[in-house]
Amino acid sequence: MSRSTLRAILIPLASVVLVFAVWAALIRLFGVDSFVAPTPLEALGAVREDWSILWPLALQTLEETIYGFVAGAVLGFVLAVGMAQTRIVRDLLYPVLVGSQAVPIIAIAAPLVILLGFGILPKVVIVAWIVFFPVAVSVLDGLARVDPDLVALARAMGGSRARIFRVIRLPATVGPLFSGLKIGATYAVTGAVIGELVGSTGSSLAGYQRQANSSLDTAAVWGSTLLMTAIGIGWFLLVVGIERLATPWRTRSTRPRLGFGASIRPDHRPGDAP
Amino acid sequence: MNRTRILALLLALAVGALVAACGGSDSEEAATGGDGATSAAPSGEPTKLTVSYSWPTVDFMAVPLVVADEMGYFAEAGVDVELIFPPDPASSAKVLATGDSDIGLITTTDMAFAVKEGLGITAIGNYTTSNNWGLFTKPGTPIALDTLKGKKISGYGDSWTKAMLPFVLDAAGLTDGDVEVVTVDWDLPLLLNGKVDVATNTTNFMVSGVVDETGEQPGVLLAKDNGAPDVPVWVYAVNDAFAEGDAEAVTAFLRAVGEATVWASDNPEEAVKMFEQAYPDNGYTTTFNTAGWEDTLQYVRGADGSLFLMDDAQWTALAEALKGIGELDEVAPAAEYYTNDFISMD
Repeated sequence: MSRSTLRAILIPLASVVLVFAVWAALIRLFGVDSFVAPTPLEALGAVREDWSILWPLALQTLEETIYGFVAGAVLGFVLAVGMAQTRIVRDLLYPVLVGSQAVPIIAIAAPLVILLGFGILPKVVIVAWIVFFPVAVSVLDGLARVDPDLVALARAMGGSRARIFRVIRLPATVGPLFSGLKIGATYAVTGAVIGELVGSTGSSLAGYQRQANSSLDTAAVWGSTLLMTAIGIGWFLLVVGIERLATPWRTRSTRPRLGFGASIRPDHRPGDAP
Repeated sequence: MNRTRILALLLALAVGALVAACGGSDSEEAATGGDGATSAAPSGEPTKLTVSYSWPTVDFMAVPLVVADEMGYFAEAGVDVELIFPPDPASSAKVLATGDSDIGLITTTDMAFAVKEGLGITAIGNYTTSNNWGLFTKPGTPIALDTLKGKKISGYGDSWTKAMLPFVLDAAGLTDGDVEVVTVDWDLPLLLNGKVDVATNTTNFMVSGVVDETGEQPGVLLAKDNGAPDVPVWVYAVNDAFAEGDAEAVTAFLRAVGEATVWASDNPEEAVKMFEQAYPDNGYTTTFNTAGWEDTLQYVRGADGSLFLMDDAQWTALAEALKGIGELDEVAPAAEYYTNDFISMD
């Protein structure tokens, strides 16, 4: 394992350990009773104890998160592209976009269950509702930052609107798209859990948490919260991983060894030595 | 020192802090609950009591407390009561255990779990003396044991529903697999919109809610008449440390609440009016509050007409039900759940 890989693993690990240490220290420092807030070890112990119950519930929440995330990302991207193409569409939809996020999600969650039932659909809609906004705004921002001279040049050279979009505008959305996706990834699980809280058939991670809260099993409440957090972090890291694979030029500054672009150094600036 | 060593040092420090912070337990601290006994109030001054409610917001179940305050029963008893509200329903017992309140209105399941967790609280009197939990259908839809098969039944994912529903299903000759149980956050709109066939709740909240919304009575299947144990749903409970330090105040509180309950029973409409004046922003209609309080009144007295009195059987039956669904490992001796010592018999 290379030093940089080791470092990439150890630093985040140290931050997690640090958070747990501060959490445990605060519990002891203020003498917080375990039925109010457990120590990290008690919470993790509750997860271990109920793992056979929690694991399928976590998978279920993850499934809701994935479907909602993909739906929200696609919707956000399409909306942004549509809004970037026509000014009137942008002016018309932008306030709606902002307004959609100003609505407390819990207020629309209950009507969604009434309309869509107790299955996965309302959870997917809630997650998509949360995810589409950062994606749409980020992509829209990326499209707005395209160099107008570049577009004018391409147009002067006879580029069609579709080709200009594909060659110039679309690549400009990649960076902002992943920024939006990463923001959405951190919130997506929250949406799924809210959906589960408002209405679910059978068991759910939120239902488990509510039941544990009802039984005054505080360690299990915090343990399930840790699990939800882990799902959110895991999903975020997955998006980061996909970003690294999809956009290697954003994270790698070394000279490509083979193929197209071998003669181009990404970090080469005019005036630098070759 | 290079950066790798600094990183390793930081990691080691973090692990060390975690081990130090997590090592050892504070079981004694957790069990004591609160900051100990409250000293007696100076002669002539009322004893200040903080009472925590069973729900994060106020509703008609606070009528006895409001009446006791407004009619001067608390003042006569020498107590000055402040009503506080927990951040969520499940925290009502915790608020009491931490000593943030001295006395609390909690569910009997909360009390059973509090004993399991060693929270240091004890039930001092029934609020309701009977089980008014049941299954409900929207107006015009009959409900009986033989109509439950294949129905979509909503619950709040709470321990009470989890404990009681199997009894009713068993009485109907059904199991979990014969019905679809869904967990919801608010059952009334789902029931009235036909999204669930049957809702589970207590009569005082569901009947009043349906009457308020539709002007008609829902179909009711009371669990206690259909296989479930007839155990009270709500009790007054006390922080043990407070009770040890000021038993007289606890007795005085119950005496005042008893007088208020009797008055509010004889004058339900005036009592509700008094409640609505005390809490003008309670968020419910007068129809809801009146129907809810009148329904509650059916359950506040025991079979012998007494208020508050508890017995071993109710706690054992409840604990057995909770053990049956795996929520309790063992049924504690009944005396660990309650005491009638603070109920004045005069």
